[in-house]
Amino acid sequence: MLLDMLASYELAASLAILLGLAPIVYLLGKKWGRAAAWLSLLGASASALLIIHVSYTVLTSYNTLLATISFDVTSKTYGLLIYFPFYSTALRVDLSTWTASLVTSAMPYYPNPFDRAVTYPLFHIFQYRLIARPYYNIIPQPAFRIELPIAVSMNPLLLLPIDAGLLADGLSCPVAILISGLGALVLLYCTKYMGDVKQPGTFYASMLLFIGGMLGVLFSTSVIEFFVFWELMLIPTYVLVAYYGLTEKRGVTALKYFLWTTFGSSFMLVGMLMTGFNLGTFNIQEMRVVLDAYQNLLYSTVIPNVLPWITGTLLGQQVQLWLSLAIIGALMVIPVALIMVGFAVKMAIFPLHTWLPDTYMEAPMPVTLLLSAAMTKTAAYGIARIISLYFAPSVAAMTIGLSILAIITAFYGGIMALTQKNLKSMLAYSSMSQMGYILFGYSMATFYGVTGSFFHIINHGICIATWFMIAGMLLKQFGTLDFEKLGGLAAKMPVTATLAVIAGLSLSGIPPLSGFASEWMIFVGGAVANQYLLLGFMVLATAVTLAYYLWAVRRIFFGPLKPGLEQAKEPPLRYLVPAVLLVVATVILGIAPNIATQFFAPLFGATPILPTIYGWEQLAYVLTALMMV
Amino acid sequence: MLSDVTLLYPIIVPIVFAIIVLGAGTLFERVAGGKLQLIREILAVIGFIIASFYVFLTYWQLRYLQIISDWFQLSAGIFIPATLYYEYMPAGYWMTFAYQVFMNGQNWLLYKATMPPAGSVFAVDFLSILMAAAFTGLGLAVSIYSIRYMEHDTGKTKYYALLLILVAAMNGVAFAGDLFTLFVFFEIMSISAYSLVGFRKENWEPVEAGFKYLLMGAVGSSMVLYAISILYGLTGTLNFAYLGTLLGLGQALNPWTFLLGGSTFYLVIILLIIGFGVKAAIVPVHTWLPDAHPAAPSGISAMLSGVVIKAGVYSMARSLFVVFPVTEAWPWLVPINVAPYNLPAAFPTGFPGYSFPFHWNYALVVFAIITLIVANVMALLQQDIKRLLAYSSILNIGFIMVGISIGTAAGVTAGLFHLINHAIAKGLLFLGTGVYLHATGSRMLNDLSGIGRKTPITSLSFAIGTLALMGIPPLNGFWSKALIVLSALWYAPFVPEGWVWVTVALATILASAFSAAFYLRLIYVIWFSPESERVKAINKRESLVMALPIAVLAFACIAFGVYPSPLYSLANRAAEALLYIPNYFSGIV
Repeated sequence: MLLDMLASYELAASLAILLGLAPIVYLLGKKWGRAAAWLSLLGASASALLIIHVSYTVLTSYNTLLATISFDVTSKTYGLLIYFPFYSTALRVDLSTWTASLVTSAMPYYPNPFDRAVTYPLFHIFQYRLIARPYYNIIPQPAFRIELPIAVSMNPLLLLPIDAGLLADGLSCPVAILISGLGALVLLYCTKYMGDVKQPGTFYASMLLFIGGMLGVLFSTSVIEFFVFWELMLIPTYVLVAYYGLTEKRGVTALKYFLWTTFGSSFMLVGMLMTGFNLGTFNIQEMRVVLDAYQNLLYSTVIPNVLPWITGTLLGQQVQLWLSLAIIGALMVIPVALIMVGFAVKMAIFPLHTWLPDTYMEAPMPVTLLLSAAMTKTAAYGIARIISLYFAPSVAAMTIGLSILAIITAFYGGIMALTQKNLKSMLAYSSMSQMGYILFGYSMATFYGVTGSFFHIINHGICIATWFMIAGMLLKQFGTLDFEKLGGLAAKMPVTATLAVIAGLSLSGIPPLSGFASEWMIFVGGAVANQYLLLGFMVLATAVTLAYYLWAVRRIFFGPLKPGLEQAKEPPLRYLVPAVLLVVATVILGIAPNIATQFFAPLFGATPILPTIYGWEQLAYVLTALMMV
Repeated sequence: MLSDVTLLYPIIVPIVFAIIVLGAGTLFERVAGGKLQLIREILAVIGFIIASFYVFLTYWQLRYLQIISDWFQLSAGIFIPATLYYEYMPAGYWMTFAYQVFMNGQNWLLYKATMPPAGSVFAVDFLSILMAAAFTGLGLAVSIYSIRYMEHDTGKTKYYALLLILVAAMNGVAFAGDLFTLFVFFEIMSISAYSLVGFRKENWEPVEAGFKYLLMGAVGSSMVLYAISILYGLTGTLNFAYLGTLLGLGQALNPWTFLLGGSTFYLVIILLIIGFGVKAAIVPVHTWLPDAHPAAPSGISAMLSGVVIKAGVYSMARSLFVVFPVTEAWPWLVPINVAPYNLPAAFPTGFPGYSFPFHWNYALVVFAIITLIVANVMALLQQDIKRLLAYSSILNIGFIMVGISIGTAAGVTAGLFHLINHAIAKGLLFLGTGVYLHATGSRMLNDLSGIGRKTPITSLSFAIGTLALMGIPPLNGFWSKALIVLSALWYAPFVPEGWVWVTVALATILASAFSAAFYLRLIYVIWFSPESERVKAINKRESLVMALPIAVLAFACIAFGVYPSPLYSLANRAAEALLYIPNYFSGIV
């Protein structure tokens, strides 16, 4: 319990450091720019370490009362196809004495250690056939952990009418590690990259506020607080783009970005208010309680009274369950759709994406890195936190529409990326395309889809950050990111080339890298929801992703050395170290995705798999919803 | 097939060929000259080939017996579940031999000259055949090598005859089934060795070295004789089977049997260790070896270092393990899912102990550690390559002693494994120094620097042998050294004074690391230093007849490094044959 108390202070401190250091850095930066840079790096690193420790506490403390496990068994058999992403959990072998002796008594003991070295691995492999969990005929459940969220409330005695707090649980922790870690790494990168920036105080203060705002979004307990931090995130980014943008049109671009985001946020606010007033609370955890109670009410009282013949048979029970969920879904379709609009703007989903290319090109490289790798992730996180957990039936009603939008985004981004002549713009479109993947997973509203999308948040954050760092390294050395002018650099900068290749392959979904695990899960989510056609299109989009990444790598790093590049050398360590750390994380997460999925998989376990509604039924569904409003 | 005089052919064949070589050699020296004299060498080589063939045949006879007994047990459904105590127990996995007592009535191949207990027997088990294989194999390599090496020497007839008798006597030591036979052949071996060391009697150095060897060997042999006489007086028999069974059964049946010998046993143990230790070159009775090795012709140095001192090790191990065996009963019927986790239940009377009077392996291990230290330090100071290799041999004898003194199946197996690996590698190294001596006329490291490029095959094999002795994977020395250390560590948790074995393991690792200094110096001198004057003057290519056995031995180093399993299995069976006393008993019954 002491550790939990400490963890809640750590959680608050991690946010307070960032927000509190911002004015200090601003004032310091008026005279001493480098001091401001290093101080902001220090603050961001401290914040990241605190968040990592909080995540460790969340992961390792157990509380049976707050169990968030639920199992979802359907009659479909997907066997190894579904279990595959969780292959790291298969290493947990039952080590009881009985099984050990069972196996050892079947194994002869060879006194010759060289014979043992050959035969024991064979027996060891066989052992899994004997005592491994059978993974056919039921959908295997991943290794669930019962975790204790760390919560800090700003209103502990409920004296004030506001409801705000910080919640670190399995959902916030991984993304918070990603964002605060990326913040620290980017600030390290900035100390050298933006070493000669004018008005460093403003720059670093804005960066700190940006990171702090994003962390606030992640940790927020209440929908209103979420919105407040959401808007708070907007101001530093506006400042960063408007003051430190690369071209003359930076003011206009920044304004465009601001207006687009605010437009989306207004939809989101309406949706959130509707949700809050419908359910009676703005606290996200309480919403769940209310929804559960309402579902129980429907299940136990309303439906048996309205449709009494349903409760008789087993199939009727299933239908009753589904019906209760469907009614809730129907009730909440419109608020959920509005909230989705807001997130869609931030995630640059077609057709709300037009702000993205200009803003990404305009901002300096570290800012673009954070925009792409962190800010869009908060939107994806928001979908998971607010919508996917509790409003899955509503999303299931919108599956086809959302997934079509997601596919269009993926293809649009991919094809545009193929046509770009500049690495940075290619990466901007690539970012948009990957957000399409994430939305596809969410739109499927199944356990695997949502978990895969959430995992893809982390993976994409890591890999696209690597790529932007590499782009920054190239820009600093050569002053240009044109594909025409760059070529054959692998011989001169082999480490950078390796990092680029690995990050590119990860995003294209090549095993055993992390992008493969998350994309596989997303596709499995689509399969479970029976959307095979849409899934097929998404898989084709993977081919496009592979194409533009490999082509970019080919053009920049391989082939003959372009003239004028003879002086190329490996970038300095302060650029390389963050990128190397990120790539190592990609590889490790690819081999053991359970490291990340253990955080949030249990929380998504409650996501039910609902049949998708087509055509006229969908219309009737929506009309019913409208009537309910 | 079993138990007839063909068992003794590895002893008889070299003696017969020695006589033939003597006759033919004398004849050809008188009658013919030049190339015809090569017939003598060819005859010697043929003798070795036939002897090794018979060794091989006997090995397969033993294996046949073992396979039959295993399959019989499987079919009878009485297969003993595998033991998991291999690393802690005195006798190993191949306890299946015990069933041969009931089935075939024997598991040794026995040739009785006169009836035991008073008579002389030859009993061939896996340990004997292992040693015989090493002796005969290296003898073959040396005889091929000596064709070119000794071409300018006189008295070659005597040389080859003595070599054949040396190998015959060593095979006799290996096949001996009682202490008397062992002693007789031991003495024959020693005399041949003395003569061969002092072979080039024109110079003073070999004569002095041979004389020193003779005196020290004689003192050692007399100590052994004294110990044998004490044992004969105590028990009335010298047969290994009877000795082992008497003392073991006596202890089991009559707890007052310890009064039988009392403190005399301490004397016997010390006499055996020191007496055989002279021949095995244990510190502090090793001082003959650094003089004998440089003085002897290189082929004989290889034999001395590779197999003669191993015969001393074998005699010591055999006599000690038989006279003072480990006597704990084997837990036949312990349920399999209890024992691995509940050793006290499996051994209610405590863990195995050595027979009275005391755990002699601790005394032996002290000698072994001292040997390691002294040999390491002395080797660093040498300028003569053969003297350096001599001290390296002493060092490796220390390793083998560490392995054997652990007393568990794992330990003795590791020690015997290292014995074979060292025989191969050290034989290789000494033959290589012979090539260098032949080419430059000098043994000093200063004169040999940079000789690598002039004698590429030899020097490459030399480097491989040195790396093998250093314990570099994937060569064979690595496996044996690692297993010695691991066996000590595996045994440590199971005895109250386990800290001794942990210290022993640490000391072994340190000694191994320390020895890298002079091994690397060797490689550096031979390959990477600038050529000396003598080396520059070499204008002949190395002789292929000399390089062939060297290359074959180097290939064996690599092959057994990559695939050590067959050698290890052989060493394992040899260890079990040594340690499991009922084996001896069944051979007699």
